[in-house]
Amino acid sequence: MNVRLEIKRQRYGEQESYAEVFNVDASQDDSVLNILERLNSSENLETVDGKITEPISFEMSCRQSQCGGCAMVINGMPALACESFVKELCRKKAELTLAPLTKFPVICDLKVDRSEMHRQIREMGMWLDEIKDADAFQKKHETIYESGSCLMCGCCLEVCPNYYPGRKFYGAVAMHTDNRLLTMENNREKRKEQLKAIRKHGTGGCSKSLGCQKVCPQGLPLSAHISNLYGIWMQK
Amino acid sequence: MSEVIVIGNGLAGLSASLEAVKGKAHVTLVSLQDSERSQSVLAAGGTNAALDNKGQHDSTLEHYQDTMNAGCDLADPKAVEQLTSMAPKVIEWLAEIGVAFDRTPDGAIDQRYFGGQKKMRTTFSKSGIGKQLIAALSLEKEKNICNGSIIEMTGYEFHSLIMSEDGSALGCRIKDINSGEMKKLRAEGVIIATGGINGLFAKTTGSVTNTGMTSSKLFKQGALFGNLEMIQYHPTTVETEDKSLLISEAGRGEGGRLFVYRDDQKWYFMEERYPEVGNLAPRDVVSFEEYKVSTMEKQGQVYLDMTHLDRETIDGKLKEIKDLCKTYLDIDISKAPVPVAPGIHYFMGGILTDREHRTSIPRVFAAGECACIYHGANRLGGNSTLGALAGGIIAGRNACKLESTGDIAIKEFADEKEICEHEKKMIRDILGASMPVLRNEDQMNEGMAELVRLEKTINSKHEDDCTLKLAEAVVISGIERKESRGAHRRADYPERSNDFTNTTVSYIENGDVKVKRMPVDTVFDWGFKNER
Repeated sequence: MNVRLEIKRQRYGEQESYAEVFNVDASQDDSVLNILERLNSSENLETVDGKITEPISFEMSCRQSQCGGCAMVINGMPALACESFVKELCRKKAELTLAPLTKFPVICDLKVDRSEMHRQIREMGMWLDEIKDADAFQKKHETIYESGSCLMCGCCLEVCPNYYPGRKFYGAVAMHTDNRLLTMENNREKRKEQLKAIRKHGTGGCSKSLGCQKVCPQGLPLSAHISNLYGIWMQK
Repeated sequence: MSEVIVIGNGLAGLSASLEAVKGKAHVTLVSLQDSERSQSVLAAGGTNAALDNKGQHDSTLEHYQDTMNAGCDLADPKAVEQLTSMAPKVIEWLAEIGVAFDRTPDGAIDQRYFGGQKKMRTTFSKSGIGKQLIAALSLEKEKNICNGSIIEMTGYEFHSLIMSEDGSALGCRIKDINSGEMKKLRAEGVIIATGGINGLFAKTTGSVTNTGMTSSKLFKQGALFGNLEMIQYHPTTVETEDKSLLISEAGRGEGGRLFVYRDDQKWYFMEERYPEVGNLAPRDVVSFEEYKVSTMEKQGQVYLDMTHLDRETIDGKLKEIKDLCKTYLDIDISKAPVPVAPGIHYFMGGILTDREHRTSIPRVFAAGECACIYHGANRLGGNSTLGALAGGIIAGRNACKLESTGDIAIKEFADEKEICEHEKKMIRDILGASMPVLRNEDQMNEGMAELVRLEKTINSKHEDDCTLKLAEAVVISGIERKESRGAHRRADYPERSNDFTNTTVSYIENGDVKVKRMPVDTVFDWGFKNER
């Protein structure tokens, strides 16, 4: 089928974005990633107006929903390009719009700088100091596993009504990571420090819209992580 | 304080960085993307260590024996001994930093069966060990970035080693992948942890960022490579438009069965032909048997059947397999078998290292899949993550001890234009056709002739021919091993031969690719003078 593909583009080192439209031939089984790769493999990439343009920049690595690299805004919703298929996206209209995630600085086209999530982790001192005995958290194994499955793709922050860069509230990644660590951390001082940090940057700022949980490509039960964090806070 | 550069932030790169920091080094960690995007996150099944948590009297000696047997005696025994005896300590460390290993009801780290091993030895985290390992190691990395021990440079690719006139490395040049800007980094030691040479082949189970460029550059800069012909075809992969999807060995570890339809009946060929190990024979054996039944005996498509497994196993220990098959193949593994075939999965060969993970270039180390050390002719499932972690630790431990070189003269390295995408694709197609599951001399000779023709075009355009040189080394290594052993199966030499119980060493001499055979246990003493 013929699909109209609109991409929000931005050159490296520039601030202005612009839209380009492409006509692509796609099959029902194609993912957005397949389409982008095919476009980039054409010798001369041509827009619908016949303009020759530069290959499209985007991040990808595993091509199978496990690395989070190719997260972008697809038809208005954040998702991984590798697991977003034409058969679902173009059910009503043969149209696709792609844009970079909006809560991170754009590097080039669909590629964004997601280092802010790592910076938050460092600022909040989120690492283990001294682990409890395994028996002490064995029942919480699932929580730790789920938090460890986070792709750090940034989709959750995209839809979060409370997260904006530069503000105090850090969003779901910081909260589930803190929950993971507080489940395992034994050192009292470290626990105190992490509870304080999450009080400042987490729990209080969340209005529980739970958009994060809806868009998470891993399907992580983030609401459970957030309420668990409240629980830990209450027991303190 | 010594300065160490680590290239690559997957399992080997992270463990190397953390270990070098423990030895008081300052680390610059260079990588294309965040650790969450590294190929390591795809590691599914688990990590081997003889913890003996399942009451089967397992021992590090048996782990050693299984690894050596699977590797068909091509791995250095002393290196494997070191690896297998380190393994329990490595797991202990990982548990301490919070890796979510599955546990037994009494709280011990759980272990599962894996191919080529008779004891339950593979520690696991459902079927997503790599992701869980990276999650825990990343937080340790953040801690060390915070205290100033590690500087992270993400969005950079390795360009070349900075070499002294006397042939040792003084650091490396790296290139900003967005702006193209080059940077020179000086260091006492460089650790290469860039993964397998997937980019030289068309479809593999790996990540697109494993382009093989760093290995190719090192090959051209004089590093010795080993056993490049040893390419692991994983028996349970599914080809999609752009890659091979891996169905983890955990599927068989938990009871999955391989079959073909013979006279409309399911024929469980592995169970019939290998009654003792069945579906869990080493990967080279299973892949070749699949090739035999489906291609040579013309029984058609091979299937992996997991439909008989209980819901708890499928939703729990095999969750990642279930999700993958649903998203990409539209198959519910609890209801239908999965059509599978052998697909390129792992490179046992690579940058040759000694037991201390030193390469043939002084002050350069290699660890993880880019290195050739532990796996011989075939790697056991669960030994890749172990090899990457343990290898990184050993490399980091050694690199941080290096002393400053002082001021010495730098040898300039000519910068060449990268070859175009079309030529890269030609290399991939030629290598794929030359190095299938079952090989023969004519096929490989033909591949070599095509590579030589391509080389003339590339040279006439003054493009960098480093990937082509490495590709040639792969094919020549295949031609020179005139026997069948492990992953290297030949139709024209179907038997294993004692004349070839040695390492295929490839290198560049006066611009040409050369191959020589070196004994597996002495190759490591040859020409390695790292303390210059």
